[in-house]
Amino acid sequence: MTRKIVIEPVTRVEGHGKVTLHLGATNKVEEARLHIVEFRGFEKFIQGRPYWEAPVLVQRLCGICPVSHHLAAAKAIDRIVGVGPGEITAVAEKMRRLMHYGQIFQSHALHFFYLAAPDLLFGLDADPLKRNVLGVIREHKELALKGIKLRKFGQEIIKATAGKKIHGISAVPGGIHKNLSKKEIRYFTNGKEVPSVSSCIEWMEEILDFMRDYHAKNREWVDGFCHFPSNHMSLVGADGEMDLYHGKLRAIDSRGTTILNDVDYEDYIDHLGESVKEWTYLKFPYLKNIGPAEGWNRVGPLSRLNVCEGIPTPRAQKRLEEYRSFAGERVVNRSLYYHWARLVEMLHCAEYMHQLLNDDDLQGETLVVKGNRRREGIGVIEAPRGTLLHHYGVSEKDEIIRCNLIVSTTHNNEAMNRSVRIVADKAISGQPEITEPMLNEIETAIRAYDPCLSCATHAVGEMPLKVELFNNDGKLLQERLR
Amino acid sequence: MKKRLLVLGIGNPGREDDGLGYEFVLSAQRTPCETVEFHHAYQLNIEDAERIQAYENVLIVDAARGLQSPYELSPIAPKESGSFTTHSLSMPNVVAIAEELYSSTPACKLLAIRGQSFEMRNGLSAAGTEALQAALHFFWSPTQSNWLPGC
Repeated sequence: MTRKIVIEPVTRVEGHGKVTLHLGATNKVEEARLHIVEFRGFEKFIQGRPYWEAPVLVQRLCGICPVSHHLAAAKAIDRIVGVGPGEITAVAEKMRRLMHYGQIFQSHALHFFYLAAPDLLFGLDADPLKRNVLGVIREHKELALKGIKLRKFGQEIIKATAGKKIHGISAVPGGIHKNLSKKEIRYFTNGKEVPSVSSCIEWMEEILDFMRDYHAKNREWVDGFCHFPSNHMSLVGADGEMDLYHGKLRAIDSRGTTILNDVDYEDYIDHLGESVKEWTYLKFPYLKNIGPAEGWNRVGPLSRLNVCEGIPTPRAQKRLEEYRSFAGERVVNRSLYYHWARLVEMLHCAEYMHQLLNDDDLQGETLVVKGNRRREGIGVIEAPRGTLLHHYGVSEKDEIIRCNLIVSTTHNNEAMNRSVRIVADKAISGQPEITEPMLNEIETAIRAYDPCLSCATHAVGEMPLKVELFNNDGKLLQERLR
Repeated sequence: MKKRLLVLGIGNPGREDDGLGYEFVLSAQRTPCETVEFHHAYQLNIEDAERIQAYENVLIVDAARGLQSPYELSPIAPKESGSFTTHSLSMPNVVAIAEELYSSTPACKLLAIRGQSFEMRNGLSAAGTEALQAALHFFWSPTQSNWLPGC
């Protein structure tokens, strides 16, 4: 008799997904899938809208990382108004960068402190009533307070640069809508209403100490959990350094061999393909030179730290060296290192924001430039969860006639499915009874990627974890809710 | 010293009557009042615990389905819930977090306003608009003056 287990929805991730597990006669996991069950259709319904609306409209995909969509679309629309990378003014580029690094900072803080920390602090088999953010608040109050303040800092940076914390409006074709005054900057440096940017840097150092020690104490589990080889892809700067706003596309294999060598992202269509499967709305991107079976990449913090040559801020660079030294390998394929990598990126973001807030270019007054109109634009950015691509085609009447979006979580689709399969096989195969900690182990593997399965604006409601056990005739044998 | 009253409107104005909390804040803050502060958010988040702990009183305004009257006022008691996603954090949960983290429990009330239509369109339905006016009238009425000293 075969059995089917459904985990729906997967909890402590952004959006709505479900996992199905098919067990054979000896309870061996025969098939494991992560299904993305929401369909949004942005690529279709944006058609017919004027191109200048794209940065404002498309960011509605998401309430957690709208800035990433706002800026990827803005970069694409820059090209449509004839402005190439590096041609927007210094104030425009630095305002966008400040907004973007503030966004990554707050998104990573949300994920680490609110969603991932309960598993790390309490263990996968802890009582679910304790293994949540309220448990963190009760038992690790100082950490929780810092988490809240760090996220607030990032959100306030977004508000100051984008106009609103969610769904801002300031990136416009060819530039930016506003600059940042010295008075506005003092809000982020005087430590009165939000922690100063210097405090954010110091707190991130403390949290990275905690994470390093955590890995040392739990090395066997952390290193062995969901460890599998994969390719990795991200943007890199001109010298191969980490650059989250702009750069060339680079991919490496699981041992560090370059398999996509710093290509211009405007040529992505020559290098990236997407396959589809009938059981999920999420596509499966791959490198065309390798093919769908082996050409899929992981993206996001783990991959960015694997792909880059270094990080262009001193403290984060030191932490990168510490991370690599601890791992003992140049390319880390161990899934739980995503969390540590995310914290290294937070430190980098804090340092970079500190630099920008002290940069007089933010008070520049030439906000927008224009060039010769084009019919097509492509923008790519490193969003919190990985490489994000927006591609628009525009008619002579300024209407968007084509749109292609490859979002970060899509790149990780194959990797997340493999993670589910690996963990399910290890935790569940052969076990006589399926327990809650076993299911949480599967969710922990998915959470490492911080997937953004949908946007935060869909209907609010109860999201219980529902597990149903079916026999091979489809008859419901057992049901559990939490 | 704590501030007197925070009015926190919750909802998405791009989904018709889901924006009742937002519209309430927009309308109410047109009347100047030094002791009341207004804020709007799409949904409650953990950071809202930090926001509300600075006030003596908090009024959360949100759309609701199935009310017998155009609006209903009810107290919000702190209550922890084990489940958390960024899509759904309950009001009692936010109050409980404020109590746990900041040892602060403002007097919190929910002003629920009856909504009728929640489709993806800007603007309130006719029934939602009517309920909003009733709720605003109630909010500014003399019987509620203990919330609004000096206004």
